[in-house]
Amino acid sequence: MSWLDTLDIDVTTPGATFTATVPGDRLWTIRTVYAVAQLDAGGAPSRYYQLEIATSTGTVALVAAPNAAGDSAQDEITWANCPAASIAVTGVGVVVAPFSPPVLYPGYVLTGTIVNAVLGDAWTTARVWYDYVLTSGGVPA
Amino acid sequence: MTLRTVAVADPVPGTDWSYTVPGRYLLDITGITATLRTINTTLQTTMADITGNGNDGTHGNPSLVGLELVPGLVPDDLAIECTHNTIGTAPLVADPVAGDFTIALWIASDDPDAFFNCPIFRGTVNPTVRFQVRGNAFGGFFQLTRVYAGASSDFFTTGTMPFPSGPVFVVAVYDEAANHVEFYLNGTAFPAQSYAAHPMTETSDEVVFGTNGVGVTSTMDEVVVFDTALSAADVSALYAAGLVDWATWQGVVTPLAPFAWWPLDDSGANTNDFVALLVTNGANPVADIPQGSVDVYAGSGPWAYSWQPGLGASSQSPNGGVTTVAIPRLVLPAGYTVGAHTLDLSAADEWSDITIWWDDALMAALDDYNPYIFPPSISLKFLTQGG
Repeated sequence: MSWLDTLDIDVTTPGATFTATVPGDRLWTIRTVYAVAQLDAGGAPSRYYQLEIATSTGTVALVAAPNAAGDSAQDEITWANCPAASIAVTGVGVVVAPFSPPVLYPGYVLTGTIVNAVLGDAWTTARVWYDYVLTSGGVPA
Repeated sequence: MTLRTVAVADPVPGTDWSYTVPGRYLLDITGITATLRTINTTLQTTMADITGNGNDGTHGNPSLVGLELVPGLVPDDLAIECTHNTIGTAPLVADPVAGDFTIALWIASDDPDAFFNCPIFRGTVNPTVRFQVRGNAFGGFFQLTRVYAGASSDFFTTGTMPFPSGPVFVVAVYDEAANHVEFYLNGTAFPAQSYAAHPMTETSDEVVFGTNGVGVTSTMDEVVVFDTALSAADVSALYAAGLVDWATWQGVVTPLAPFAWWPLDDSGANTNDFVALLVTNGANPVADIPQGSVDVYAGSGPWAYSWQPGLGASSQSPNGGVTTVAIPRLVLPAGYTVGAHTLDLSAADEWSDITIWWDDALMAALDDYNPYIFPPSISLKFLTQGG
């Protein structure tokens, strides 16, 4: 049996990184990772967003998404199983980056990073949308 | 397996469309199509008189802020926000003020204190005739002022009344032969007011409307001037037609042979909005998928969007375009929403013809089983947490 859920990742402490760890009782099949980045002024032109999957051994996948909105702006990023695309108007960008990981086991870590961030850059939202099964084979309580 | 469609209701202009998956449904989306009509809401400098009589107006005083196009008071049309600026014409071609005339227009304001200046016909030293829709703390009223030889003047007014909300059709009829002024509000006449005959002479006839920065935000649409005194039946027919849509309104106005007609919808070149497909879990976004290709579009036609798993593409013609947007496979349970997320959506932009194609195989499979047994990898969770 599998179930559908979303996980809101705590980004209340401003920063250029968010993480989510697959709980011990679940196997995840990720549909999307959705995040919103607020970018400060003065950032490097090579700023971009990176989603990492890591096991206890180390990094097993890195998926990049471009900065669409530029400085002093907001980007909405969706990592999903579809081709890359991005749009932007003044102050707002929307980006999708290809992402289709296999089933993630307990303890696997997802990390989102604003690469080449400046001090004021921060994630304001981070959310994982996924199907899961329980490692016990049972049903959720 | 049956391929089904659901038609999503058109949203009001200036808003994105959205669809919520109904209870006990599992929406396995095959594709979505919709059409976006984008309007450059910047009113152009020239305000056309569509009778062809040559009385085009000019958007004046550009240093003030805010003259822009908004959805029309006559449906399927555009209108202007008329408070923050003025529009004026050159001296009118031919002179409608010598004798009978009728002035008609649509206006709207949510504030009874709103103040309008409607068409002003200028003459000698002062405006020869001024038709105003005015308001105060107690309501609104219409007033027709005329200036005749020697700069003398008199005026006729409806008296203060509660001002209706929403689009209002106001008409002033000047019947020189009968020495009557008649006002109409939404097709209903006020008692006619008589006046003494005075010859009116003018050296110029300009029409000016807009309040040049006075009053609260208001909308004006379809200003029409006739060089005849319309009958009550004609006014009633105009009002009824204007409530339907612009084509119906046009069908009634045209046979009455207006002297001048300013629809007040002179838009600039159409601009292509940037569109993404937004999916939420009923509370928060879980995916926002943008279009892949961006075209700079300078035409005036609608733009069709087609979202489907696969590869994206785009093409355009002088009358519109099509963009196919590649999306992941979306299987959405009850309570989830899918809809457009348009960047820079303006107040006059309109989505229409929204159709979702979906495959009912997964949902049919659910119906065949105990509700707690699901097909592999795709699931519904009936419990209260998450989802």
